[in-house]
Amino acid sequence: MSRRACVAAILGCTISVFCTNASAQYAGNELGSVRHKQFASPQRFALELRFGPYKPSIDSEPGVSGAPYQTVFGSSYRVLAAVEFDWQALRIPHFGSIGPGLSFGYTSMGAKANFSTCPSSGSCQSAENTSLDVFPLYAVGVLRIDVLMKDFGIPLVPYGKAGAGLAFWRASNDAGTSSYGGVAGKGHTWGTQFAAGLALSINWLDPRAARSLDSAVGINNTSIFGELMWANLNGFGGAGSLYVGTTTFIGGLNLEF
Amino acid sequence: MRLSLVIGGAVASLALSATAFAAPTLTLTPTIQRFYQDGTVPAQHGMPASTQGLNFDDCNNNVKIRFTLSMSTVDTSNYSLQAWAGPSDCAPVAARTASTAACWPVLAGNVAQASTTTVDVNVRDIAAQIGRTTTSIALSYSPASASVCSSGVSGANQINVYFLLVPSANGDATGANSPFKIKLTGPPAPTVTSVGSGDGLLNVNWKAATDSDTQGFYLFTDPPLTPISDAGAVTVCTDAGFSDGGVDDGGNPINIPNDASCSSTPISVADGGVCGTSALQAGVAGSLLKAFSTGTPTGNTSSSVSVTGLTNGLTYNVAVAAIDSYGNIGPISAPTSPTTCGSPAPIDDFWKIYRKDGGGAGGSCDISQTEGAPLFGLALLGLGAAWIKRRRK
Repeated sequence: MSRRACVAAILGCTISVFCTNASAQYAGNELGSVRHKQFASPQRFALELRFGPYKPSIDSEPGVSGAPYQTVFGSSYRVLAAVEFDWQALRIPHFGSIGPGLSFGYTSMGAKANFSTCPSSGSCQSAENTSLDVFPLYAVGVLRIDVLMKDFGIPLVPYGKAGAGLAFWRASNDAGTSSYGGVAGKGHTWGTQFAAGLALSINWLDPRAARSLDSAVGINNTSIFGELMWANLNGFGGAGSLYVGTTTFIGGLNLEF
Repeated sequence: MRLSLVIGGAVASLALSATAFAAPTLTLTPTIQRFYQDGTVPAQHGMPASTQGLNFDDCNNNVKIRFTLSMSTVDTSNYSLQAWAGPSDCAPVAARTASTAACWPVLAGNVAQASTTTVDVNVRDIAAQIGRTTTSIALSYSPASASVCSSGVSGANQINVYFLLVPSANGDATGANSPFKIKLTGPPAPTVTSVGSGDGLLNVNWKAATDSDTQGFYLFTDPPLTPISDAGAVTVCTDAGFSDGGVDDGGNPINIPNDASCSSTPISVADGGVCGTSALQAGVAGSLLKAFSTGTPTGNTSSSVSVTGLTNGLTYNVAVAAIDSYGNIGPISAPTSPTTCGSPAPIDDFWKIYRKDGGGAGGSCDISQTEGAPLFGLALLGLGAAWIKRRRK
C-alpha cells in the first residue's frame, strides 16, 4: 500500500468513526433515524439568534482623511445582536433547502467626547457622551446543504447567504442627534450582504429531547452555528455613505421548524 | 279619664322639652380648600394619600385652610363653637385645660354659629405648638409667626383640627375634626460628588443622604439656567404675612410681606463667580433659592442629571437639594471647589470629527423616522412565535 493510500485510509477511517458515532447518537440509541423521521414534523422555516463582534469600516470611506471612528470609539469591537428569519421555500431532495431570509439587528458604540479646545488644566475628555447606533437589516437568499445531516447522520450543515443589506444609523450626543454644518448625523446606507458558515446540529446530544421538542412545538432541528459575514454596507461604493458595514464572525443558535 | 289626660300631657311636655334641649351636632365637609392669604390658590403639592399633608411652604406662606361646617341647630345660649388643634382628642375638657392640655386654640374667640359656615384656619396656627409638652401649651390664642415653620420640628406630625361645641359650663365637648399631617423639614442635604461638562451641558452626580421620604431632587445653578433679567439679587422674605395691608372686598385682611424679614441675595447672571463662593450657600433651605432652580425636580431618586441649554464659557456653581413627599425642599448641598462647579464648553463628538475629516454622509432618514425597521424585527419574532403556536395546536 502506498503512503498516499495509507493516509487516505486512515483519514477515511477517522471520518467513518466520527460519522458512525455521530450518526448513532443523532439517531438515538433505541429508536434510530428512521423512526425519528416518522415523528418529524414538516420543516419550512428557520430562526436564528445571532451575535458577533462588530466594528464598522467607517474610516475606509473614500474621501475621509483621518480615522474619525477610531479616534472617537477606539479599535475595540462592539457586539451585534440580531435575529434572522428564513423561509426554506424550496427543498432539493438529497441536497438541501433554498429560500429567502430576513434579518434585523442592532449595535451601538459610545465614548466620552473630547473638548474642542482642551482646558489648560485637567482632562481634555468632556462628560458628554457621543455615540453611534446602527440598525443593520438584510434580505438574502439562503442555501442550506443539509444532506450530510439528513442522509448520512453527520450533524453538520454548511450554508451560504447572499443578498442586499440596509443599515439605519444615528450619531448622537447628550443633546440628541448630532449635527454639524447643518447636516444631521443620521441616515441609512445600502450595500451587499454575504455569509458562509457551518451549523452543528445539537439534536444528537439528546435525541429524545429533540423529538419531544419537535412533537411539542414543531422544532425539527436545533443548531449552533458560526459564519463569516460580509456586510458591505457602503452605499454600493457611492460617495456620501457612512460605511457602517463590516466583515466579522457571527455565531448563534438556529432553530428549524 | 282625667288621669290619662294628665299623663298624656306630661309625656307630650317631656317630648317637647327633649326636642328643645337636644344637643346640636356638627358636620364637617370632608373636602378642604387651601388659599394663600391674598386669596389665590397654591399649587397642589405631594401629599400622603390618606391624610391632608401640609409642608414648609404652606407654613411659611401661612396658607389658609378653609373648612365648611354644618350645624343641626344653632344654639348660642348653651354652646360656643371653638376651633382647636392637637395631636390627640380635643373634646375632653382636660385636653383644653392648663397643665393637662394636649390641644391649642387656632382661632381668636368663638366661631359664629350658623347652619352652614366657612372657617379659615392658618397653617401656622395649626403648626404652632407641635411638640410642646402639656404644661407648655399656650391656651390663649395668639397668631403664630413664621418662626414656627423653622422651629426644628422634624418628621411627619399628625395634627387634628377640631371644631367643638363647648358647653357653657366648659365641660367635655362634641364636634367634628379633620386630620392633617404636617412635615416642615425636607430631607438632609445631598453631597455633590462630581460635575462634568459638555457642550452647553453639565452632568451632575450626587450622593443622597439617608432619608426614607426622599422623592426627588432639585438642581440649582448659579448663574440660573434662565437668567433673571431684572435681578441683581434675589429677595427672600421669611415672613410673608401679618403686616397690615388693609382688607379686601370681602373684608378679609390683606397680608403683605414683613419687610423686616426680607433679605437680598446677590445673583450674578453673567457668571457663577469663583467656584464655591456662589450665592448658593450650604444650609439654606432650597425653597428660598428657587430663583436658581433649573426647573422641575427630577421626580425620582436617581443620583445624576444632565442639564442642557447652558452657556459655554461660564462657570456654573451647582447645588442639589432633596424633596420629600410633602414637597419640602431640604437644605442644599455644600459648595466645594472645584467639585461643585462646571464650565460647559464645545466638544468634538463623532459626527463633528467625521464631517470635519471629509465624511459625506448624513441628513437622510434614519431609524427614528422609519418606524418600519424595528417593527420589522418584531415581525420576525412574531412570525416565529406564531408558527410555533400553530404547530403546538
